[in-house]
Amino acid sequence: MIAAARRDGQALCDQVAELIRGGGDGPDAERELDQLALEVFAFQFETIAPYQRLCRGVGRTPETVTSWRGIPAVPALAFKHHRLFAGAPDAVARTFRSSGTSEPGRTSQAQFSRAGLALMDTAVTAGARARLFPDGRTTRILVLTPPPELAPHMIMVHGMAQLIAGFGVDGSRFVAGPRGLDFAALWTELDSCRKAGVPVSLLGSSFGFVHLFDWLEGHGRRLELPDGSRVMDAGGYKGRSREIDRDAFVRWAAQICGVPTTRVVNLLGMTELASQIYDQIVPDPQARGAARMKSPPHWVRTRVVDPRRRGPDGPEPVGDGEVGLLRHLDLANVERPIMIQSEDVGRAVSARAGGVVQRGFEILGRVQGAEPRGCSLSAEDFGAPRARPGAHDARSASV
Amino acid sequence: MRELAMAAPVTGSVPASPGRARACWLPPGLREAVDALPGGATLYHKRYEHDDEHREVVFERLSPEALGQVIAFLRQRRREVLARRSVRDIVEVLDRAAAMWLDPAYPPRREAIAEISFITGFSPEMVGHAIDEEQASSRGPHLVDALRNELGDPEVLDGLRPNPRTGGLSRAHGPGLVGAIFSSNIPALPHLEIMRSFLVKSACLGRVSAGEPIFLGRYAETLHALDPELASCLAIVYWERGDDACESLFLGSIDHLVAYGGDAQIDRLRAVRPPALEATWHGHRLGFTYVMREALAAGQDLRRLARSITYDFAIFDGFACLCPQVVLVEDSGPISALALARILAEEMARWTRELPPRRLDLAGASRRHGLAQLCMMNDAVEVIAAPPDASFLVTVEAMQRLEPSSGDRHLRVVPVTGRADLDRLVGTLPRHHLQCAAIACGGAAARHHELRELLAAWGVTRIVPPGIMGRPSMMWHHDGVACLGRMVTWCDHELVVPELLLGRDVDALIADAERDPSATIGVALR
Repeated sequence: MIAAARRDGQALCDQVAELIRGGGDGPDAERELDQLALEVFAFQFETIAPYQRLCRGVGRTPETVTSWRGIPAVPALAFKHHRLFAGAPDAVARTFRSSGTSEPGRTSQAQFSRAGLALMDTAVTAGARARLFPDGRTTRILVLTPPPELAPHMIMVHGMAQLIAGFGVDGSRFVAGPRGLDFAALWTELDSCRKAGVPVSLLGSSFGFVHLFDWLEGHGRRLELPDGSRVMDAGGYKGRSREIDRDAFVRWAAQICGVPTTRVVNLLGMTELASQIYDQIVPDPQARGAARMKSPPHWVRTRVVDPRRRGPDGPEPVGDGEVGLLRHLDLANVERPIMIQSEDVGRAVSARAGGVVQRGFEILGRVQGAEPRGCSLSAEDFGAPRARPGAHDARSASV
Repeated sequence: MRELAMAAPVTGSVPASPGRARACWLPPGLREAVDALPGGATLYHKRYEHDDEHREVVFERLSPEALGQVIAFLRQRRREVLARRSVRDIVEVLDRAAAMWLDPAYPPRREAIAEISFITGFSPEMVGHAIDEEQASSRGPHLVDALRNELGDPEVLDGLRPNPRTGGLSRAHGPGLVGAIFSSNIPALPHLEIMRSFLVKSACLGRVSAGEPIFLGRYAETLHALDPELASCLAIVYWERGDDACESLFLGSIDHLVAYGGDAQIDRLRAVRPPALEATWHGHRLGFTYVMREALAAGQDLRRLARSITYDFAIFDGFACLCPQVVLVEDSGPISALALARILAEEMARWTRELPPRRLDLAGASRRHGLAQLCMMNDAVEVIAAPPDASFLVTVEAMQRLEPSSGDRHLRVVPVTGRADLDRLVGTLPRHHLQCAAIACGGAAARHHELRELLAAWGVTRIVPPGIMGRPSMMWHHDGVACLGRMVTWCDHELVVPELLLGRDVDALIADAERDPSATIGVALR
């Protein structure tokens, strides 16, 4: 264990990249993931001081943790308060940020070295290949966000650039500019793709799609995207558009874009994670259509936990159908804490496909502050920030 | 989407059924009149959820016409009832109400504890304890003393009374109709404003908080059972946030406003109330505990001290303005702040058993665990105790400026060296935010006196020994204000010219003058 802790991050990144590319379907996959996770944990325990303090505080260290399930989780909020990077400051190649709403001026920051960026790119590509482009088709990828030059700190934009590089045909690009999105120009471009029979992948933030669809509907237009086209939204609404129920969004997107509902997928990403979690669509012949759930890629483990139920490994997972908080183990987080406790509320779900039970989760929302209101002084009124994890929005979208 | 906030109300339009608690309360005669108005009262329910359980509470939306009728009714009952009843008589009813609520076998108490506990999340033990504390300080002698403290002779509210200091007689009248806007963070407290209104013989129109909609209605029922006539001077109503029509009718119809709430709420009300409406504000306040080094000297009972300090942090789970935010500890004594913090942690654990903390929902659990973990990660914070169930948290940290804690029994010990630290931490705070200070001095009376003079000058409105911060008396000048005194208007009948008062038997003079009250005594008109 100690030997593992001394290994440098580069070697661990390479090892994780190899595991990701391996496909995770070997007989020893679970054991390999467990072992590598523990090695990464030991490395981070030695190299990320605030994380070590947390581990000691909760009494779970590399000496005592024997499975990935016991690795202490860092609250996502901690990325707003601490530098959580397993390397020297001069090793930082990129820093991604996301801002919350309740603590303006305080942003979550996630640092990446060159090796860490390369590992994230591997994860982005592998995840998309499995869930966004499982048919192996290349498409014209149009992203409804500004390009990386205009949004260098957005991890979602970085990921989208990877998708263009890995899966896009000529003409793939970011369509938003400094002044936002030119809906009319986009319509013209999409219509020409239709005429030319070029399949399109429309990617963007959930709220961006709402604005686009509103514009299209407002102009009485409906896309008839060629076969092979798809829609992927990420990141939620963040108060920047009205909120739309998940199923309604899928139906709306399918109807407006002229794609099957199975080609509309959502992605969960966070600035605090290097990997992303897509919708998995499990065909369900008995129900009408298919069951839809979030299902992490093979190098990620997401558990729906209830912090009120404590076991030896920390909060206990909830049962099928129960509600809890999402906790992610992301092996691609070699340089940032590998286990992240999010403020996303989810439900553990499962579906049967071809005799095999698929397990996943669905996102229901975020925890909301719920404190008695009254005369006790609150920091917000007082002009001073206070550490109150429930009140922050640390999540952002990435691909 | 499922409502995730703890017991956050979800509004529905299902009509009320007899099994549900009611948030609003009107005296029966008024109730009939309001119900008879077409569209006068529209019933709806709010649903309070916790995990898989829920309770529903019936609220009602009064039409402006109905609210106007409520206001007119209360004004009339004030003239017919309160104006004719004696203070002693009113005090006696309020005293009997307190005695009933103090009786553990009183069925409405048992039901209220269960309902308030479910809706607010406070443990039943805490709600019961809060009722005990609040009602114990609501007994008749306290009410009379509160009047004495602020008005001198309580009977000035019944009629003109000799006033030796003016050489005449004095009479005090309450404002007529007091409007109260309540908060939810201290269970079972809102009756305080009903008592204050009745003590100055004003009718009371209260707007209940959706966060704790139970106690007021129950208390009104108690008054009604004891004395329907007196209770007919009270109405508990509700309007949704943003219902400007009802709010402005309310603000435009009352004679004195008492408002509890956060600074945003208070600022908004200040802006929208009619400029001439007098008001008593109970906005955000901040308290702290200060431990002098003498309190940590050899021979001091540290266990007892810790038990007292931690009680102040445990009561109301730290969510009341009456709870301290930090413990400032002079770190130059034989016992370090760190060592005291360890004893405090043990005593916090004891209170966890004796007065269990709030039931945690998912958000609360996320917040509490997240806070403990952030503290652990911070190398400037020493985590002394962070139990796995997050029932409390004890930390030691330096602080540049006194900042509020998150409540939820987070006891923050801040080592200080003396006056300079106090100046920086407390002396720089806005006066209107300061409230209670608990001081442990270990018998160092001279230093204690120096400190309390300083704190009073800075705007602290209540100084206590540790252990009673959450238990203010009726006699306290609540938030630095004579709450009863400021509501009344005085009429002084001056019988003699002031220079005659000096060196004379004033009582005899007044008795003399009363034989012909209109004769000017002792001075010839020029």
